[in-house]
Amino acid sequence: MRGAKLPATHSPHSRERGRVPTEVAAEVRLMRSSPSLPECEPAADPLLFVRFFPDVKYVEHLREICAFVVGARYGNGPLAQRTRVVVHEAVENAVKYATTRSTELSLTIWCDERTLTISVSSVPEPGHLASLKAELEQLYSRDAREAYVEAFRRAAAAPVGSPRLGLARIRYEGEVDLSMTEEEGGRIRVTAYGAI
Amino acid sequence: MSSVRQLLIPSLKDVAVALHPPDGVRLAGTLTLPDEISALSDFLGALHAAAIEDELPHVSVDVAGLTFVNSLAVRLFVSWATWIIREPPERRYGLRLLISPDVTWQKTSVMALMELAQGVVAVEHVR
Repeated sequence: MRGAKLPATHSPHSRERGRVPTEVAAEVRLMRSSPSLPECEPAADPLLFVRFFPDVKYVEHLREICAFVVGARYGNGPLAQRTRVVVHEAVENAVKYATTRSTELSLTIWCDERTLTISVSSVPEPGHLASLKAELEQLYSRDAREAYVEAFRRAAAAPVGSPRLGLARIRYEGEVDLSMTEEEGGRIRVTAYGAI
Repeated sequence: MSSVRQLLIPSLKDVAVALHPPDGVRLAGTLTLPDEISALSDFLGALHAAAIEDELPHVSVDVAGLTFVNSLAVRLFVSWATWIIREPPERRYGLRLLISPDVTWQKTSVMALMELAQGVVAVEHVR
């Protein structure tokens, strides 16, 4: 699913299930499967919910947990590889721009017969929201492949570290569309969704 | 003695780096850790300089076993292609990437890199 326009945002149902004790660094919940729902509408019960603190050491593990869970349901093929890319880049970004190490992040995956939805919720540092919005607008001014090549061009012309390739890569390599919603308390939710 | 043969190969936790002189290098594993990306960037910079010194027509990079990279690592290859493009034409060499058709990032990111660096980057599929 590679649209040329920025899709309408939607808010996946958050399933907050109690606080994580402060001595616990991460919590993973494997959820039961759910019935098919209309395209781009996440299932009420997610396939996987992970609550974690912003530490870069979790990124690799979350990537592999998510790919394992998606692979267990759909096979360890292209969809699991797409999941790896989306989760790694989205979580790495969320960790990188998190305000403090004590602010919880969460990752949720919904799947039905047609759609994979991956959502990462975080509280980014001031200023990141505006740059994220601008990046998404720029990303959706082109189709997915052109936007990725353009991100390469900008990267080639700039010093290492900026601009980023992550969102363009999620969209093109993950074969998903991206949306971003603002939530209470400065929290934002970046959602990637695409056809299975 | 060739400059490529004298390169120091970095010892990395998640990535195996093997040099196959006069013009080959093989990378395998996963590449996401900033320290490892930085170390590999230094190595590739030295390899770039050595390839020019040795007047190599091309460098072959086997990345088929590099099963996952993050976007910072993708930038390594963007930077490498850019270093070559910025050289005067008589000093340039070709970057031949050996990729696996079964690894998603190689199909997408390497193909996008080819589009960015036409005439510099070539791709060959390996199993």
